[in-house]
Parts: sequence; structure tokens; C-alpha cells
Amino acid sequence: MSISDVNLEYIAEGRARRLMNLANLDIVADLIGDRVVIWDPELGYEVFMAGFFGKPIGVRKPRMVKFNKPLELSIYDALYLLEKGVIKIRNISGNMNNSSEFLKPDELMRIGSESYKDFEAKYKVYRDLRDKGFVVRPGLKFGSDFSVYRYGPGIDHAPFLVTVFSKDTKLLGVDLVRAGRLANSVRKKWVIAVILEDGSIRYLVFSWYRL
Amino acid sequence: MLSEVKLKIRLRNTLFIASKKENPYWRAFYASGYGVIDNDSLVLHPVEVLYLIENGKGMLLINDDKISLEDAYRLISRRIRDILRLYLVYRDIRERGYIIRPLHSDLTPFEIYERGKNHLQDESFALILVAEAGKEIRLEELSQALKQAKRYNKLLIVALIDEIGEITYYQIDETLVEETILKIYRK
Repeated sequence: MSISDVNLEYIAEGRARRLMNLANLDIVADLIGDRVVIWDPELGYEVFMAGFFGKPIGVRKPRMVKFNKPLELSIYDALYLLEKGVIKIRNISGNMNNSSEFLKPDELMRIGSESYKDFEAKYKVYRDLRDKGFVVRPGLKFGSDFSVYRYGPGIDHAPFLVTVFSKDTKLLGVDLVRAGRLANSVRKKWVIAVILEDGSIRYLVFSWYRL
Repeated sequence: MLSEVKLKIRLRNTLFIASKKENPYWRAFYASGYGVIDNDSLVLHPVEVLYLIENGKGMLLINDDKISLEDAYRLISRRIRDILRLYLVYRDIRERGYIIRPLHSDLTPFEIYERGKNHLQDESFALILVAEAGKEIRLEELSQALKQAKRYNKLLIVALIDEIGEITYYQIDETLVEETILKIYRK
């Protein structure tokens, strides 16, 4: 085990501990359309700090600095935190009559699937990486599904850029070219998350090879 | 290898054979990475046959008649449909100065040896998977091939052929495998 593994372990454990403690705080978030918000800035900050979940509204580049804004969670973050029993989610834009009722994970999964292409597969990858202790953030600005950090944005110098290929997505030869080029030019790791038929996930990285 | 010596190859049943008796210099060919030994002869893979003919190092004899490269292609492509793409890769790697050997695997049809090394003394360092730019690469196969390469401690290299036969090579590896022990919140 290298030093970085030990660090990762330490940091990931710290995060996990924070996350566990959060479960006692009875944090409630609201689902607005397909977005999830924790209004209380104190609680929002705690959630953010437990693994860089979400983004404080209006803060451009969130760091580990205290903020005083509501926290917006991605639907992946929200579902993960819901599954882990860290937050409860009220659907305020949906069924007003049952506004006191909290969403169950499978309901949120359904909502995600309606909004996002291939949501289930992508969430599987998200969960796998989170469970392994990585920080998983949106990858849109890099053109991938997720950007993945060992420690966190602003700490790691370059994230892994993960794009999910489920068994229904075709991997074409040109994707290799793209991956190789990107990895070379932006010096980031372009990773393809492959969900195999047995449900297991593997992360493949391609690099141009000088033969 | 003596440049004027050509390996005489004959089609026996479905195999391309160079008999030791007819080819006193068979050892030189074998040492250069061609064929596998089967008792009294060297058995050649179709891509090896094509390469030897193309480079004037071999001739294919059918009923003692020498077959042209063109006819050899025709003959072989009737049996192996994707012979051309296999041959393109075989040829390209050979020309780059590596010893490349066909494998009995549809997944990774070739293995290659470091420059200056060969199959008689050394282990190959990489398995080659062949893919085409515009076509699908099956994820299951890719993952299977990677598993295979890992098992033998070799690299997995994808030879990607574009529409006009140019080849680019990519190495595939696995990442994000760290499993941190999050005992605390794994209920």
C-alpha cells in the first residue's frame, strides 16, 4: 500500500464518518422538478463537506471554505445520500396533497430515469465509485458523465473523466481515438466505465501507444 | 536468413505446411518467428503465408504450381473472412521490427515480442486486439481480453484500423480499482 493509498483511506474514512454522523441530524431536502435542495446552509455545508456533495447555490467554485448558501444536490448525490439514510427528500413540486411524504429511493430513481438518459447505469457507476471512497462530481464541462477525484476538486490536480457505457451503448473505434487524444492533450484520464452483463463494473483507460 | 532462399509452402488438407525435408533452412524461418513446429514440418498461419509471399521469402505451391499473391489472398479469404484486417495488423507490426506470432484466440489474435527478442527465448510483452474505427468494439470482449492480458502479465494493445488501412495503437488499462475499506458506513 503506497502513501497515497493510506491518505485516500484516511480521507475517505473521515468522509464516511462525517456522513454517518449526518444521519442523526434528520436532514430534509426538497425535490424541485428534478433538482434537490437543502435549504439550511449549516446542514448543507455539513453534507458538502462529507464528500463534496452538490454545490452551494451561487458559489462558482466551491472549496472547503464555509459557505452560507443553500446546497443544491445533483440527482445522483441525492439518490446516494437517500440510499445511505443521510437525507430525506420531500417532493414539493410533485404531489402537493402528500407533501408530508418522503420519497423512497426507487421513486427518485424513477424520476432520474425520466430526466436523464441511461440514468440507472450511470447511477450504478456513481454509487460504485462513491462506495470506493472517490469524490464523484458532474463531468459535463469536460464532456464526460462524471469527473472523479481521489481527494476532491481543487485538491487533486486532475480528475478522472468517466463516461459510462452500459451494455446498450456501443463503443466505437473512434471513441478510442477521442479518448487517446483527450488524455494526451488535456492530461486528464479519460475513463470508460463498462457495465458488464453480470452487473460488474470495470474502468478502462486508453492511451496512445507508440509501437 | 538467406535472402534468396524461399520457404516452400504447400496446402495440406486445410493447413499451410512447409516440410522440413523440402526446406533445409526451415530453422531460420522458425527463429524469425514464422510458424509452429509439427513433427516433420512447420505449420504456418495464413497471415504468415501472405507476408512471406509478399516479401519474396516464401512461395505457395498448389500441385507444384506457384500461386500468385493475389490468388493466395483469394484462396485464404474464402476460409477466413476478415483475413485482410488481420493481415494489415500483422504486416504493420512486422514492418516495425517486432516478432509477432498468431495466437489461437479470436479475442487477441496476436502476441508480440520486444524488439530484438523472440519466442524461442523470451515471453511476449503484449497481446493485440484488432478493431476498426467505424465499427463496434464489444465491451465484453474488451474486458475479457484485458483479463486475459492481466493474467499473463502482458499489456493489452488495440490495433485500430481506419477506413484506408492506417493503424494506430492504443494501450488499454484498468483504473479506479482502489477499494477503500469503508467499514463504517457499509451497513
